[in-house]
Amino acid sequence: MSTTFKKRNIFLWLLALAFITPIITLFFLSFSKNWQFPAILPKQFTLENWRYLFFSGGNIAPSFVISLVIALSVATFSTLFGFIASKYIAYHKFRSKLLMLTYFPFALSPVIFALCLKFFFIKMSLTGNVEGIILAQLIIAFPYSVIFFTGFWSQKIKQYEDLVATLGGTTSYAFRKIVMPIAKSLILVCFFQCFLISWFEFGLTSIIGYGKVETLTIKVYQFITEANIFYAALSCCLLILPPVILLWFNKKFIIQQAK
Amino acid sequence: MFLQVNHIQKKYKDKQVIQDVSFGLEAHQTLSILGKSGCGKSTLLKIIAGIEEQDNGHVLLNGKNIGNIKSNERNIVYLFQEPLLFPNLNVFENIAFGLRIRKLASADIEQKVEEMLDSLELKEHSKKMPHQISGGQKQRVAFGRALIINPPLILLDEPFSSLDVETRATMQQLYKTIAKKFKITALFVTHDLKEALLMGNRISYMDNGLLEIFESKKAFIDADKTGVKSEINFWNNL
Amino acid sequence: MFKKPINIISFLLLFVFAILPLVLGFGFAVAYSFGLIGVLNKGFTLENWLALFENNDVVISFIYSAWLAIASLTISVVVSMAIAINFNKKFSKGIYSYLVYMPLAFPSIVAAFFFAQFLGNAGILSRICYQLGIIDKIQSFPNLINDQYSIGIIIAQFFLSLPFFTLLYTGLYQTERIDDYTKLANSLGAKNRQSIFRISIPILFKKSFPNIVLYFIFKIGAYEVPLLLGRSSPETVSVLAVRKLQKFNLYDIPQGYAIAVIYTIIILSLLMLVLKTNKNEYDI
Repeated sequence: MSTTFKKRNIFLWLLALAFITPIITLFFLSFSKNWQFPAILPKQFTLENWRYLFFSGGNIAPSFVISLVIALSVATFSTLFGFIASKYIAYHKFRSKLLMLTYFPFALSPVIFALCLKFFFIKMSLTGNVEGIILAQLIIAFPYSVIFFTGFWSQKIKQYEDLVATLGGTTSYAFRKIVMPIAKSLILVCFFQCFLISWFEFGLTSIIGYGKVETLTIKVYQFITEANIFYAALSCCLLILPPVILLWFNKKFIIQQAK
Repeated sequence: MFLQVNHIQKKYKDKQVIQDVSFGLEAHQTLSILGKSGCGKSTLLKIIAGIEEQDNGHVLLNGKNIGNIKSNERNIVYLFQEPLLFPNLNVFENIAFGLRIRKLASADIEQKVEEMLDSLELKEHSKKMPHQISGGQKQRVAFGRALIINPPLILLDEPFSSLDVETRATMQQLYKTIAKKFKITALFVTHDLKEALLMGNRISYMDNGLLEIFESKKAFIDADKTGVKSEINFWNNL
Repeated sequence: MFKKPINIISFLLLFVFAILPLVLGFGFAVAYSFGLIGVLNKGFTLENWLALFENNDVVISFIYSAWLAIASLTISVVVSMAIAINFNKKFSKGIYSYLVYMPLAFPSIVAAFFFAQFLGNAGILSRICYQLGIIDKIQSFPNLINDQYSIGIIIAQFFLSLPFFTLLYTGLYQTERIDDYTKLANSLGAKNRQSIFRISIPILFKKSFPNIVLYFIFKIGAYEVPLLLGRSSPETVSVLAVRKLQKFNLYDIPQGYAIAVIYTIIILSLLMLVLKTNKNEYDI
């Protein structure tokens, strides 16, 4: 009995370690300098990396802002559009065929999809600028949002709407007073998810953005190719921070809903 | 006739759900519609409520064709099989819903809802959320929500079918009392023989998209297709 | 079909943001690969397709991508099932239910970077081994990134997909009432081991199979992780396509688009198969 108990605990400890180590490592590296083999800890801990990247021409703050603007726009548009379009699909007689069509762009590798669409983005002068990236990311986030919400528009929601109508309420009244309140938490979750899709996106962004729009993921890649691991780690920390905060709130939120 | 339905027809894809249905109903009466699932009875109610559109035929209310009136302006309440209480509103607000749509003054709403809660014996539950009350209570709230706007016609689509036997019996009694008190005119759809007999002043049978109204309860009992006879035989032969 | 304006808007949204890009992108790739458009076009030709299959690179690339996806998925499925079966309660609430979300906060590129720092020759693991006296110089540490067996890629992908499957299986464990079934099996005389292998695992696997295939479809197109942790040959499909299409050799471009065409056809056929055989949709 005691050996299995030990085995179980070791397994759990390993898992916990696997979940925590990456964050801690990246965090430490972002404050490090001079990390020669075989030392486990760097010789120096310093604020220099953060100071340089934020205040002395390292240009990480603008990247953070650009990423944030792009992700918030993509999340807003895709959630809104997806919510509307999913209703159309959900109650359509060709529901499953339309749904399959929406799955297609979502399942394709964004980077390959971007390569096939690059020509059209060039024609519309949408390469190398923020608008182009927002549009391109919408093409992957929007289908996600549609698929996400199609499950929401059930027979039951339709019955609620019909019920409101027979009680004398208009469609928009039903939408404001009943459908929206019921959908609220789902909308929030979808918004977070779409935000993350955009926030994490690298391949498609690098192709449509030509590397000119320096989002955080592009910065990470640049620092890695320059072999500057401390700056790369710092950018990684900035990338992880919002999702960690977000997931923490989101999960809490979900648990509260379940209660 | 208060409600007059003339030659209603409805087709879904290639299935003729309603062949040709005509009937009339006097005010303050309840007409039971007995039928198996899929016989077209729900569709008929939805057409009268304006949720679905018929292919042919007319629905007249008080002699007026209501075909062009949208469901939210018909004042006909359709009660679904499930109580469908709005999950984001408490019992009080669920019942008040129709009054809020009609923009009544708060004090009026308060008074009317309190009265309704009283007659439905729901007073102590008024602040509860739908998931905190039982199935029978939910159905009562759904009733109250419909009755409070004083609709000229109520359509009930197997309202008690999800309840257990005891609650069901209580609810049937409650409905009889309320129907009298509020002078309700209603169509009551059910697949339960006993319920059809109990609830209706008049009784009809629907099968394969056709509806037949019986002259009297006796005629209903005597007809072969309603299944009353075989039921009686079963009990007699025990 | 369009009784209300909102329906027109909905249809336009679907058309502009989902259907049109797909049609345009795929059409463009097809046309380019057959020489109908492009800088060097000379009218319809099969040349590019024939050139593409002169060597095995493309076939190998597809097999390699599929292998990476299967390998990392297998480990994820096994580990997350073990978690769901052994530690269901621990992972549905408390500290572990938070920890398990951690990798969800990692973009692929960050995960790839971390594992490069962790598993590389001069990485953390190597340093720990040195300090413990397991190795005596950098070179004795085995190659775990940019390596022959793609161990680094598989580990990174495993890390990224673990929370997804753990959440899936701990969820299924409850909705499918595995606990009840296990008790039932035990009361019928099954040993713990037997009920796990004959009841719990088969139920969980069957229920999750469509999700596994969907995840496989996503992972075949993986880009960032193999880009940073892989070798220059073999390459995954995404990496190969990008190299062919973004580099300066104009003769490579039509071939790159041909790869995109093959990839799209494979993915969409697979997807159609999954969605057709399972009428109900999935939560994503």
